[in-house]
Amino acid sequence: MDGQRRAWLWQRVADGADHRSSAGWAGVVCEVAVDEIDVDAVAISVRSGARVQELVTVSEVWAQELEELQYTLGEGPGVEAFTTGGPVLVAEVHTARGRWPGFADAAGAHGLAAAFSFPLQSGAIRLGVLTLYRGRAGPLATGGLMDAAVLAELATAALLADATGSKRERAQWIREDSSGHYDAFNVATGMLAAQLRISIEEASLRLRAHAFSHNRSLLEVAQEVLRRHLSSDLFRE
Amino acid sequence: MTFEPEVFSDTVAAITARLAARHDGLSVVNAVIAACQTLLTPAVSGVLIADPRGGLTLLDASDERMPVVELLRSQAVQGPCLDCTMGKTVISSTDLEADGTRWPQFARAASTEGFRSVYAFPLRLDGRAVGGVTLLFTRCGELAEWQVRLGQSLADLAMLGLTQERDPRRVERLAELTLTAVNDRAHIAQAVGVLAGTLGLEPESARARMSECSSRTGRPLRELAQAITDGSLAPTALDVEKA
Repeated sequence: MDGQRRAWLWQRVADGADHRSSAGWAGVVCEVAVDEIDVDAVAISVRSGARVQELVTVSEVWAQELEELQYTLGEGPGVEAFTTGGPVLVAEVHTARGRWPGFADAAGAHGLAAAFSFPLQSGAIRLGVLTLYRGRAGPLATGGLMDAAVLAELATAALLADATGSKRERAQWIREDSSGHYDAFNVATGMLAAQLRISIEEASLRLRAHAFSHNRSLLEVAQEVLRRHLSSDLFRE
Repeated sequence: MTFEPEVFSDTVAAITARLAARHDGLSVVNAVIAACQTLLTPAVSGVLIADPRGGLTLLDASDERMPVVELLRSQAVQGPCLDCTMGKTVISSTDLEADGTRWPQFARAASTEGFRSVYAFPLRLDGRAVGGVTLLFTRCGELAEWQVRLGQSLADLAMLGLTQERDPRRVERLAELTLTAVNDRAHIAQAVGVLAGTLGLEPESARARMSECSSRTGRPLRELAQAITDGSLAPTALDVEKA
């Protein structure tokens, strides 16, 4: 049951993204989120540090204003999700005055009542945030929470695959294993990063690129790295 | 099976000290797993929890070798941990081989790995169960009644570590914590890889060193993983790291 819903969401985004330009997946994730979850607007932003933010896509201008507000004030659910690495679910924004004094009031004036932010991340790799905004207070229903978490995972997979470059590789992010939350994949990533003295993110990208270009699963490539069957020299640039 | 009162009190104190210091949930779960190993002496202990994205996800295990991890994980589909979560009650099989029709795939995979019996204790929250603690034994046999009660108490402590606050949003909060813990697990695995790659260790010994450092210094695993992956803690300094 759970697995079916997940596969259905992946398929829906993949189909939508097929019919769009190269950066289309993010727009499709936002569209699917607004369609399927009881919220009014959705935004995905990518960050390369706490102070640098690039807004990838929004479903409504309203979401863009709220994203900019957080960025300007340096506080809010999205900022917190990114810095702490955990989801931030706020069913009643007005109760968060102690947490974000500036944002709670300003967002209230913008008509925001509830916000739900999910970090786009894979272990040490933090890429950005998916935030759902709603004008009515109240928690996400269980199904909505699940959909949002799956869509955040999917957006992460898409971002990681996008970053590896070529168009052919980009198509691979729809593979379910591309989120790479296998333990073996993560251990292999750390190992490669240490051996090549590169960042975790860079090591993860090289492992992915290797798997995609040799048409192997991430798990297979990871296991070979761990058994030291694949020399780390293979991943040098 | 007996143990010294001193061992018992030290083992429980390792959990409660983390609770009192408000460590992250995964650190508490890690201490609960160590306590299961010491006090109930299974071959393997593992904790699975409901993933907000669906199914059960593995939070932590005493043995991180792939076949063992896969066996624990397979319980998302079939096995004692799924049953204890659905039924909100302790589930056991004192002889997996004789009991082969209950969870055919799980029993087969378990016996391939040399396990003969299993106990699963539910993680109880507000009248529901949101996962379970699985204990795998290489011998057949039943736990004494006090051991079953102890197992459930340890599972309750794990749950307490995951939802420490007295908050009406406990269930929502658990979703936040679970997603965070799943990512922490990925982060810790990356740090294990960095250690293994730098020091030329097997992943299992790298993981053991990290755990040892966390217990010795009181620094949560999550924090150590962060320090190792961002380069602020050199892998070679792990053995001499002070609290």
